[in-house]
Amino acid sequence: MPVLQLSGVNKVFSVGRFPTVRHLRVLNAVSLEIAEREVLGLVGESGSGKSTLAGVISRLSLHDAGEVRLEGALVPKRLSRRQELAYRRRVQLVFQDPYASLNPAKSIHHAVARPMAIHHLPDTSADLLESCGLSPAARYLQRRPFELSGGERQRAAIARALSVRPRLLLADEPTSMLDVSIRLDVMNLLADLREREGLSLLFITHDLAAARYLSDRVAVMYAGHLVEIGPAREVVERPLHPYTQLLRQAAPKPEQGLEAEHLAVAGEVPDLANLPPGCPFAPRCPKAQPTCREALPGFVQVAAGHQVRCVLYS
Amino acid sequence: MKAALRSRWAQAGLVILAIFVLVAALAPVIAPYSPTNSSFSPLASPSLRHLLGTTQLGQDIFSQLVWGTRGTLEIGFLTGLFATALGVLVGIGGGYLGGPTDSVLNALTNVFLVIPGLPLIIITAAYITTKSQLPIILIISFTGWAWGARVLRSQTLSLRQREFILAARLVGESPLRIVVSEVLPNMLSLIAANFIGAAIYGILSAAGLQFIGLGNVNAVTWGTMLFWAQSQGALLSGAWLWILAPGAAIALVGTALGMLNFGIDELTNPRLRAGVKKLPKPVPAGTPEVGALLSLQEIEAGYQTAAGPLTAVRGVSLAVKPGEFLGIAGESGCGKSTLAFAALGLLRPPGAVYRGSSYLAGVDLLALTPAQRRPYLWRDASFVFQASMNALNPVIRVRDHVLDTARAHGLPPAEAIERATALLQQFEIPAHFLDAYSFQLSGGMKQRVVLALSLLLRPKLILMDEPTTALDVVVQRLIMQQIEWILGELGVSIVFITHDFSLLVEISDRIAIMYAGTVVEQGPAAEIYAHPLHPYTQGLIRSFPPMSGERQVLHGIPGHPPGLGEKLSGCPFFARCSARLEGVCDQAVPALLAQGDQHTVACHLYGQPPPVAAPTAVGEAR
Ligand SMILES: Nc1ncnc2c1ncn2[C@@H]1O[C@H](COP(=O)(O)OP(=O)(O)OP(=O)(O)O)[C@@H](O)[C@H]1O
Ligand SMILES: Nc1ncnc2c1ncn2[C@@H]1O[C@H](COP(=O)(O)OP(=O)(O)OP(=O)(O)O)[C@@H](O)[C@H]1O
Ligand SMILES: [Mg+2]
Ligand SMILES: [Mg+2]
Repeated sequence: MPVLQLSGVNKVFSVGRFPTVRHLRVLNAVSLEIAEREVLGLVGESGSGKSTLAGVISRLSLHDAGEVRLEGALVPKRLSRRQELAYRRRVQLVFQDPYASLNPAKSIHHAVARPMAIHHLPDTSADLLESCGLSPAARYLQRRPFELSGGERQRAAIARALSVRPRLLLADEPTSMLDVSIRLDVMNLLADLREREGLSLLFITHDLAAARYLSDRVAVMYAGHLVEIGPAREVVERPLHPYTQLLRQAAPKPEQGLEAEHLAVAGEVPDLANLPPGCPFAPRCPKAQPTCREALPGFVQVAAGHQVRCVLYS
Repeated sequence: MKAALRSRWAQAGLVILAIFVLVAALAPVIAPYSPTNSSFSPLASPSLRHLLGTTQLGQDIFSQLVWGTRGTLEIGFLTGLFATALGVLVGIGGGYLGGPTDSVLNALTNVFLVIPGLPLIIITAAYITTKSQLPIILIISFTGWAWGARVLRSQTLSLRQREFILAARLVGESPLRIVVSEVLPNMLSLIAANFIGAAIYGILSAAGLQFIGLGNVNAVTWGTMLFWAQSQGALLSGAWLWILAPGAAIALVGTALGMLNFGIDELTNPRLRAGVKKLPKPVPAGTPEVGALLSLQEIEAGYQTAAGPLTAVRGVSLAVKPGEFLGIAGESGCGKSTLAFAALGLLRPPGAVYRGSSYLAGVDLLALTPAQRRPYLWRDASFVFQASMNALNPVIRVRDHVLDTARAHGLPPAEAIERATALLQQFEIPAHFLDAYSFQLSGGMKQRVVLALSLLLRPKLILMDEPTTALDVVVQRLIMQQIEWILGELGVSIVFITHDFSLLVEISDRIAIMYAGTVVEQGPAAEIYAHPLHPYTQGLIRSFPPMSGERQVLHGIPGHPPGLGEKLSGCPFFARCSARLEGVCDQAVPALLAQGDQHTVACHLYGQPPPVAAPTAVGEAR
C-alpha cells in the first residue's frame, strides 16, 4: 500500500481585492503515489506549484478539490486536534531555507526536543543529531542557529523533521540554498535515512541531476500540471515530454564537455490565473500541434511505470 | 538585547536612568526634609539649607524634586507596563490568529489611533477624585497602547509567515505556545522599545495633566510641582528654580529613555550605527599585467565591524584580457562580491580596500578619488550588481532607467533610446516594454533589462555578479546565450562571478576558483575542468551529480570554510582537505604558483616544500 496517494488534487489561490480578484490555479488535478521507502523526485520551474503541493500534503494549506490518502485512509479536510497531531507525526516537511526555518532565538535542542515533547516521545535529541551528522551532539544542542553553518543548519532542520519519526518526509528544495560542496552530503543523509529508517521521501528540486541522483522515480510539473512521471533515470536521461526535454537541455552539464546546447524555446511560463485551454506547455512547445490547444491530453503509459501527458505519444 | 545595550547611546541613557532610579529608591535618605513640610520661610533663595530654595508655602524644593522622582518614575513604569501589555495582547494576538479576530482587533486599534488621546484623558481625568495615581495611569495607558499594537501586529504578520513558525505548526505546536515561545522571543527588542516609548508618553502626559491641575494635585510628582509653581506665580516671585528643576528633570528622564530607545533602533537598523571611520586610500601594489584590460594586483579588502576589522579578500591578483571571459567561482561568503566592488573602487563603508591596485587599461582605479573615477565607470567598465534586477526602482519605467543612465554619462537621449531599443530587441524583449514598469517584467526580463543597461555606453568590460542566480534553469540558459552574444558580437570582456561552477565550464575562457578570500586555482576552463589540481577544485567538480552514466554515491566536501575573523597560519582549506600534509599545510600559506603554461595553483602539494605525489585523481570516490 502506498504511503501517500493524491488523486485529482486542485488548489486555487485568490489574490487581489474585490474588483480585481485573480484566481491562480496553482495545482490542477494532481495525482500521484509515493510507495513505502520510495524517493519520489518532483522537478519543475519556479512557480510551477511544487511548494504548494508540499504545503497541501503537509496540511499547511488545504486543497480545494481531490483526495489525499495517507496509508490508504482518506484524510478529511477537517481534523480534530488529536487527528491533526497523529497526521503530523506521520508527515513532516523540511524547508528550503535553513536560515529561515530555525527560530533564531531558540537553541537547536529546543528545535529538536520540543516536537518530541509535544508528541510525548522520550527525548532522544542527542542520538538524533548524531544520526543526522551533527556530532558530537553535545557541541550542537545548546547552540543557536546563527552559530551554525548553512549545512549544519539544514542537518538540524532535517533532525527536527525526523524528531517525531515520520513515515513520509517532504523535502522542499533542501539543498538549493546550500553551497555546492555540501549539497551532496545532505542528499546522502536523506538517502541514508531512507535506508535506515524506511522513510518515504518527496524530494522537491529544480535540479534534474539532483533528482536523478537521489530519486527512484521523478515527476515533472509545469504550471500546476504533472506532465511526466517515471523511473528517475528514464525521465532524466530520455525525457519524453517536450517540457522535460527543455529542462534537460537547459541544465548545465559540465560533464558533457564544453559545448552548450542551444535552446530553441521562446516565451515564458503561462499566467496561472489565465491558463491556456489544452496543454499548458503548448504555447511554448516546439512540437505543438493544433489538437494540443484544444484539450488537456491525458496521461499515456509509454513503458512500465512511465507516463507522459502529451499527444505525441498517444 | 545585549547588543543594544552595548550602544553608546543606550549606555548613556541607562546611566542617567539608573541615577534617577537610585534617587527614587533612596528618597528618604537623600531628601533632607519631608516634601510636605511647610515650616520653612516661603520663597527662600537657594542656600546650603535649601539647595533649590523653597516654595510659596515654605516647602523645600530639592526635597520635593527628590520625592517627586518616585511618583514620576512610578507613572512612567506602570504606564509602560500597561500600555505594552495591551499592545502585545492586541497586536501579537490579532496578528498571529488572523481572520475575524484580527479584523476586529485591528479595527479597534485604528479607532484608538484616531481618537484624540489628550482631550479624552482630560475629560475622563476631570471626573476622577481619588487620591491614588492609578486611575490616571490607567487612562493614559488606555489611550496610548494603539501605536505599539500596530507596530507589533505588522511585525507579527511578517513573522507568522516565516518558515520557523510554519515548522512549529507542522510539529503540532499549539497557537498559544507558538506565540509565547516562538514569536515573542523574536520581538523582545521591539517590545522593549514599545515599553520605553509608552513610559515617555506616560511621564509627559501625566506631567501635562497635573500641570493643568487634573488628577491628584496633592501627590508629590514633578507634574504637581509644576502645577503649584504655576498656580502660585513662581516666576512672578522670582522663584524660577521652582519651575526649572522639575521641568529639567522631566526633560532629562525623557531624553534618557529616548537614548535607550535609539540604542535599540540602532540594533534593528544597522544603518544608524555611527562611527564608521574613513580609511586611507589603499596601499598600491604591483604593476598592470601586460596586455590585460583589467589587472587586479594583490587586492586585500574587508569590513569594519563591531568585532574589529574583517578581511574578506586576502590578496587577490587576477587579469582579464580584451574580449576574454573570466569566470570566478566560489562558495557563498568567500568574498566574490567584495572583490567585484573593490575592483571598481565601489566598496562603501563599512567595507574598505586595505591594499592593492586595480588597473583598468593601465589606470589604477583605486588611487583615484571618486570624482576622478566616475568617468571610467559605466563608460569603460560597467557592473551588474548581485540581485540588481531586484533593485530596479519599481515606480520608474524602463525608458527612464535608460535616460537616467544616459544623462549621468552625457549620452544624448535620442541615441540612448535607439541603442536601448536595439539591445532589448537583441535580448528578445519587444520594444514596447520600454514603457513598462519593472514590476510588470518577469525575473528573466528584468535581468535582461539590467544587462541592456550595462551595455548602454558600450563598455569594454562588464563585471557580472551572479547575474543568473535566482532564475530558473531555462531562463538562466537563455540569459547565458545572450551573454555569449555580448561576448562574441560586441567583443566585450566579461568577468562572471557565480557560486555555480557548472555554469562556467561551457562559456569561460579562464576560470578562477576562490576560497576563503583567496584565489586557490586559476587557468583555462578546459584545463581546470579536465585536470583540476587543487583538492578544493577537485572536490567541487566531484560535487555535481552527473546527468548520465551509472548512478554512484558521490561525496561533497565535508566541513565549512574558516571564519573571516580567523587568523590563518596555513592553507585556508586545511581543515577540509583530504590530501593535507600535517605540519606543512597548516604551517605556511601556499603561494599561487605556475603549473604549466597558464595554470596556477596555491597548494603545497605542488609547491616547493614537500616533494610528494599529486593527490588522487578526479572522480574517485573516497
Ligand atoms: N499563499 C499564496 N497566495 C497566493 N499565491 C500563492 C501563494 N502561494 C503560492 N502562490 C502562487 O502559486 C504559484 C506556485 O507557487 P509555489 O511556491 O508552489 O511554486 P514552486 O514550484 O515551489 O516555485 P519555486 O521553485 O520558486 O519554489 C506561484 O505563482 C505563487 O505566486
Ligand atoms: N557590510 C558588511 N559588514 C561585515 N561583513 C560583511 C559585509 N558585507 C559582507 N561581509 C562579509 O564578507 C564576506 C564576503 O562577502 P561577499 O558578499 O563578498 O561574499 P560572496 O562571495 O559574494 O558571497 P555570496 O555568494 O553569498 O554572494 C562574508 O563573510 C560576509 O559575511
Ligand atoms: Mg518552492
Ligand atoms: Mg556575492
